[in-house]
Amino acid sequence: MKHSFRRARSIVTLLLVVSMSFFIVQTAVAAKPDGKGGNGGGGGGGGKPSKGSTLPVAATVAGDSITMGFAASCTGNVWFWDLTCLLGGDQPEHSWFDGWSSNVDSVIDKYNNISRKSSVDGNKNAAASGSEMRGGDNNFAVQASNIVAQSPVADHVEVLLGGNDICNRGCVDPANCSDPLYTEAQWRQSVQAGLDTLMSGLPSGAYVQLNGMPRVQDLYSAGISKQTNNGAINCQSVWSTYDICRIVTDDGVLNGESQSTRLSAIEFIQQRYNEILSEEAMAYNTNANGKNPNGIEVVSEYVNESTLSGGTFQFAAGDIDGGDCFHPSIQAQNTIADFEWTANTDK
Amino acid sequence: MRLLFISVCLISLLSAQGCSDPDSSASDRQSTIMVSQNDEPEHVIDVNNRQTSIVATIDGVDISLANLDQAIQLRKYDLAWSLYELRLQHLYGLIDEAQERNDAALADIQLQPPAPPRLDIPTNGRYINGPEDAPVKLVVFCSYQSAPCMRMQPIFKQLRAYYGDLLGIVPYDLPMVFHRYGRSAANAARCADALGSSERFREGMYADITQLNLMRYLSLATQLGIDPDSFRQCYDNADYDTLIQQDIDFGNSLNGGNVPLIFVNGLYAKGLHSAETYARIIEQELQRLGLQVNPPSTEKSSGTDAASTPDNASADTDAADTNEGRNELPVSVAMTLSRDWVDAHLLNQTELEKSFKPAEHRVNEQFYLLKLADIHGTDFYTTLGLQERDVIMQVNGEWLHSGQNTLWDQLYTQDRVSLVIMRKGLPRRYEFSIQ
Repeated sequence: MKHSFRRARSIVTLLLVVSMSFFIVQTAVAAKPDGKGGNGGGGGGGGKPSKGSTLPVAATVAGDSITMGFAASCTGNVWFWDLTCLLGGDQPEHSWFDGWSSNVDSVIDKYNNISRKSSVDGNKNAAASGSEMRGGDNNFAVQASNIVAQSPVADHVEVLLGGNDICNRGCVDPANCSDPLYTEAQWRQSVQAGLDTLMSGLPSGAYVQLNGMPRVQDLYSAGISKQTNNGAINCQSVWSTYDICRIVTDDGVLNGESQSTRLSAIEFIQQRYNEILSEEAMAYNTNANGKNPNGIEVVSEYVNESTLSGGTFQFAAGDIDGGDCFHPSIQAQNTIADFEWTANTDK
Repeated sequence: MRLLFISVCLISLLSAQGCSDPDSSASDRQSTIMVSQNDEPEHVIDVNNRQTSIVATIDGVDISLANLDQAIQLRKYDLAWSLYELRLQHLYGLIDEAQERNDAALADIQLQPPAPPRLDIPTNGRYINGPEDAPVKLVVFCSYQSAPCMRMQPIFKQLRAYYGDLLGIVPYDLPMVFHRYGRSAANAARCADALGSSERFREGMYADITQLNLMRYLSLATQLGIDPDSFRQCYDNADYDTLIQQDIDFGNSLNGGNVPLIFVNGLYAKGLHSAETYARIIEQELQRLGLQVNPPSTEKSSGTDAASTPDNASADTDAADTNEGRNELPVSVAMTLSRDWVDAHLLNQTELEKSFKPAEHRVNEQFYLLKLADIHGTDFYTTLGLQERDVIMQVNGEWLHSGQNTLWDQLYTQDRVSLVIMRKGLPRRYEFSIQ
């Protein structure tokens, strides 16, 4: 099923690139998108769409390495062979959003599973590993610009950013380093910058879902748990060697701050970042801020701390890959897809 | 309200025309398009005369639909393309339904994609990466601070290697307003052009778009044998600012949106594409011109696939499915180094080696990975685009570790050196060609 879907897409691609030539393409129906079945891992909200419901035509995402499926299948890191997996980098086939591997029931899989009539075209062209909501050269504002420049313009956009906004910082107290955690105001401004672009560039009636940023503060305990009694994995030395999210994973004093001080501050700000996502989704969705005159639906996946979501899920050893002990494993990619799908009202 | 009404009319008109198949027969066309908005009166426009229709008068100057369409032809094509994709999407839905009724049903798709516009973009007298008389010219509007432009460089290099003298790449400068260093970087590139080292300097700049500054430009220039004083003088005087502005004005006049903006013999190739996609367009152009591709020698150089077929460039999705987690890392940076410069630095190998420090992570129970430290101000590493705390993982496919560092041997003996590094937890692949 998966393979025929990919082949069909290749045919579409072929059609797209031969736009100067005019020939007839004859193809068997059996090779058309077939609404691949997925593995039934959808987290609620599944089933056939009700009569008259309209599914998106083009779906896309603003995201980072989580969306790119980075290292998702890597299982070890103390043998060179295992490191080969990590050096492969992105594993788009394992993305929660549009991964096509049979091991992942992605959002696009779920759409095509419920769609009888047509397939939903998904891409993650704007996303890139290392992206932040605020900083860097591919932040939300930049990705939003690239999304509205796509053809056709997407009518369903999901956003999953934020982990790097915390992990790339050096301290929690601005007095202790030159690159402290972003303030709530800075985070809000960056969320708005991207949303403003989407509101002005997406078609009327489009759908935008802000997915909760994950609890990066759980990384350390998940990694320690993962390496315990597992001779193929050493999370602590990999974190140290590759400088992976040191604000969380360094168990010593960093820029004058103890790990407990840092984790406590991150716990607070991660929650606030998600609350801001929720607040901004509300402000745009209701057009209370006057920035959404076209009636674009803006939904927050995060609700609050007592509601299970991608922003509150406490991931454990099995949820991080064994290569860098940082990115979501295949299991966690499925979990993320389930959370985002559950919150998705565009179906 | 009036403005809104005019906008709606224009959008509707453009949609109507832009979405029409340019080659469809006249009988397919409606003779009139009715445009209405809320309580506004209905407007009827004779589309048969639409090319000469006056759609507005601004400050006494008539604006014809033809003028308007000319100015927005790229966006108009984008709209037509969107309509094509929507139609195709719906067609697939119909095919799905047919499949449900009859598994063996065949579909004969005759829906045609819209033909992209072909623009007259001057290439004479400009710098060209390739022969001046190359039958296919790929014009690229880019900014040196643009991450998408940076990502395109290995693709361009691969296309050049594959098509040889059949292809020339002509850069135009189009720094976006938000590219703070884009304009000065363009000036630096033009200075390098004038001083005799064009492509290599560009490659060097794209090797690290976060380090667009004079110090790095001077380092690159020196590496390439450019006289640093002459370069500095050219750069400080902004000798090419007027020409850069001309490029920017021309690029903006095309209304094509953000960079990269790419044309193949003037044919609009929207957006970022894979090497495979450009290859197909190039080959159609060659076919149109009655030329054939003579692929270069398939002789493999160590650690590079620069001359492999562009078809191999994009990840094969079926292969990815059978080899999950073992994806080929795309080239992050492709750069040419001067042999003299490399050899001169290798005389200092003992000092350079001191920057490789064992990291904490141990592999195969005995080796430590190697991490760069104390390289600030070291011309050698910064010119290569390497940074403090980079972990050098592989050189030409061989692992680097505390028991083996083949970097120096490879730099001495090979013309192509491929490095895989880890930077802040993400892998990057550098391809160096030493000439």
